[in-house]
Amino acid sequence: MTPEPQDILASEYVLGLLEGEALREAEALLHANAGFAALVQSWERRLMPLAETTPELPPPPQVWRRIAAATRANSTDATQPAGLRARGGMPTGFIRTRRGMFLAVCGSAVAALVVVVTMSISPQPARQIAMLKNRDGGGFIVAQTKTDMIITPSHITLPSGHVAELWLLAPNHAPQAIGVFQPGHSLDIKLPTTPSPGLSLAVSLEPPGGAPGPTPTGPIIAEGVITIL
Amino acid sequence: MDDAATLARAELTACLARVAASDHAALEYLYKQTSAKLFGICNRILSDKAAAEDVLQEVYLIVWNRATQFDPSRGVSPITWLATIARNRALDRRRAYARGFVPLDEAADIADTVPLADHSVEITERDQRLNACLSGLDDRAARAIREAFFGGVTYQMLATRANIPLATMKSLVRRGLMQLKTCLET
Repeated sequence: MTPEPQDILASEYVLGLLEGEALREAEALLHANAGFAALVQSWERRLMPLAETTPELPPPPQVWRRIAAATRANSTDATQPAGLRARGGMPTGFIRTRRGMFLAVCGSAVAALVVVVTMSISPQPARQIAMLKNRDGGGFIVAQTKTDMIITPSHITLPSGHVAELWLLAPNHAPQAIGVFQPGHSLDIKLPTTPSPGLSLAVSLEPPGGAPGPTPTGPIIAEGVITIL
Repeated sequence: MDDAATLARAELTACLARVAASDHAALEYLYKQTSAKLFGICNRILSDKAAAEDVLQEVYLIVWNRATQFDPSRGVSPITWLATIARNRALDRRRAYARGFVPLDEAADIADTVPLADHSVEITERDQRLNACLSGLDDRAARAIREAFFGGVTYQMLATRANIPLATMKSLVRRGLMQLKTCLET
């Protein structure tokens, strides 16, 4: 590709206009080609003033309370440099801490549906953890090993005659059914794709056996965006 | 860049370095200084305050975990770095809604007519320049670029909204972007 089409592709990527094949091409270039990555960065620098000049809007106080609870909960090793905290494998304590954060978040009256799903890219990607939360304070704790993802419902009550079904949501793709589970039981599944930015997970309420068709039929009871930390 | 903007930038850079060292007070300060701006961005993209609150929370958790990755030597200002994270996360969320999972009816059809703000104290010469350069473009191109930036929309959606053929929309936007680049460089 000559430089100019790459520059156009980079600008379209930053604007978020790409889909399908063009999007995959841009993402592949971004990872493999430092020149293209620099073009993307230049376009971000050019266009980001659009965001930065958006009128300010003070968030309601509960947002900071939730952030404070979550970050204090995982800053028990606050004397340790953040790099170590974020990158090392994930000791068991990490899960306990994260669950603490999960409960702390749930403890506040949160009307919203979503919690961060964090996935750590580390030299030893042995275990990763995510959380999906629902309106009622219950949720799903998601742990990931190299090959599997383990989902455990927490404080979840499903209406009788229903199961919960997990879906993977990838940009520009139809929702992909991953598996069905019952309250009180964990679900161990193979993730059909490598975690990458832009993926999210959702849990819907379905009849026994799961959604009859390729898309969810019941309400979404929890959702989380996968954030690579 | 004027003195106030230089100072604000240096202050936020120092603040991020402390956040990277897990300094919780620094995170709180950073939040006080930047959350209204980032919440404005999230709400602009999502047009839904509850969803914007969720994304804002997510953004600061990312910042808390990823502040070590902010590298001032690469010429990116702290506020640009933060705004990029906020925009990307909000667009991800908006796309998740757009896939039909959760209705976000109002957001789907928001026409992007809100002008650039001119009241913020932190607006720099650079920001004003982008605004001026956008004003110099074909109206349809400028509008499409703004819509895309905040909307997470595709060419097809832009073409349908503007009621022009897809190929025309593509060449309008591409020409507009290249003109914008030239304008910003001169």
